[in-house]
Amino acid sequence: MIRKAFFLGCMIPLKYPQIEAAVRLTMPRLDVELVDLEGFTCCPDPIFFKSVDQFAWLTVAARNLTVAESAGLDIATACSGCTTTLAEALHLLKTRPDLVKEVNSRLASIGRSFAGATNVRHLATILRDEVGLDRITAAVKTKIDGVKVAVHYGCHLLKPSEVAMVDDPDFPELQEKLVAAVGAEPVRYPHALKCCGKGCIDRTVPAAMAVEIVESAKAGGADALCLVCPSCFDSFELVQATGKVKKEKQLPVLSYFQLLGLAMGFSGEQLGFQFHRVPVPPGLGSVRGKR
Amino acid sequence: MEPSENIQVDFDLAAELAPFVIGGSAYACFQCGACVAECPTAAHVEGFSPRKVVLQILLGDRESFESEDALVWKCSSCFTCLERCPQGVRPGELIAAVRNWLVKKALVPKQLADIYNAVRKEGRTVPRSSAIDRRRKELGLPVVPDAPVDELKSLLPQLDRGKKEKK
Repeated sequence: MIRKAFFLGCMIPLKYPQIEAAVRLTMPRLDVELVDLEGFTCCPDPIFFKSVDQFAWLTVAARNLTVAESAGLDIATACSGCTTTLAEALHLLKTRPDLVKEVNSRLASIGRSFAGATNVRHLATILRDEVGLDRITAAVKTKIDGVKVAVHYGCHLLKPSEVAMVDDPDFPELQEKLVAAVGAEPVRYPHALKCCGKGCIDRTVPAAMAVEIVESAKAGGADALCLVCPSCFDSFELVQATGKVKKEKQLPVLSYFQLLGLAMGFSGEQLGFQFHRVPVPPGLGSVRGKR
Repeated sequence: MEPSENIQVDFDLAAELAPFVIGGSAYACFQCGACVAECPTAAHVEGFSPRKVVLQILLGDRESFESEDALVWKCSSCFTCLERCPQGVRPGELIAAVRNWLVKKALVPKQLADIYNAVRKEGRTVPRSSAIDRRRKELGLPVVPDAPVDELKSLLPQLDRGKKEKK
């Protein structure tokens, strides 16, 4: 049994709970126990919050790490943003004694202290490294062979690479392997590694970045986009729901955990497809999408 | 060369930024431009370039930074430039330092201030809503627990924005 502290973050539980549902349905079947601890907050967000005050960002991240330390557990996340914040904070605090001193002097005011006794991994990485691809394949009950899936990596699962330590940031294979393990066919397309635009503060640019990726994946022959980051999920759902991608070029957006759930035999309703703005077609085991 | 064409360097800016820099160093930059080639923001925003931001830091070009809609706010923080830089400059992290310095001058876009204050007051960036509560129930998910807001309030000072409100 693999036992981890489940770090939910903000976007998954409070905006896209269907991703949480998929995680909670699928992980027990792979003998991954996710423990809900009391006391976690926003990671905090690695772009906007960090842009306000990096030391406050580091302090709040360190506070979250101490919650897992107290429970004696490593952290599992389902969000690339949470992963990069917590992993980068851990990396900085393990390599910079000056920062540990600064952070612990701040944490002292709430009776906490960072010791470095935890680790942080995205569940996608845990699936590859701790669960194993064979075990995923063995858990497949419903054939979804022939479904062509365009994998979108998102930025912070892989970068900064010396912090993430997940895969080659230029030639990653992690998500293709995970997709192939459930019997779907990963599709390569030119924009697979581009930024979804979520982090850019501008009125038009984020949508333009997301549109390029959706259209590139569609042109690559994909039936769906598949990703492991709720921010990317948000970008692609929103940009399509607001009509910036023509109907015939639209692609349903799936979290990898939903794809895994489908392959394990869970229904589209259990996996929350009814909440998707871009309808997931019946071929992918779906109920009709609604707003 | 006319004296008016001389480049004026304000060395004080880099010194002012130094306390905000956690990673990277502008001084190692030789302006090769490797960071620009795959920068998604450079591809979409005219005039934006991580190389140029580093040069502006080195030259002490305050004017290019000192506004709420300065180009430095457009970076999407994808961290590709960190991977590309052969010198360990880490332009994306220097951009975060410039932003922290601007926030201290009360030049902070509303979107950022709102996120910071939401974390401070509610512990999360996304507010609770009855619509999502209903979805969670339908999906059989537990109620999202309250975040320990008292601890966050003692760790995080209130953030106030300058008077230059934008619509």
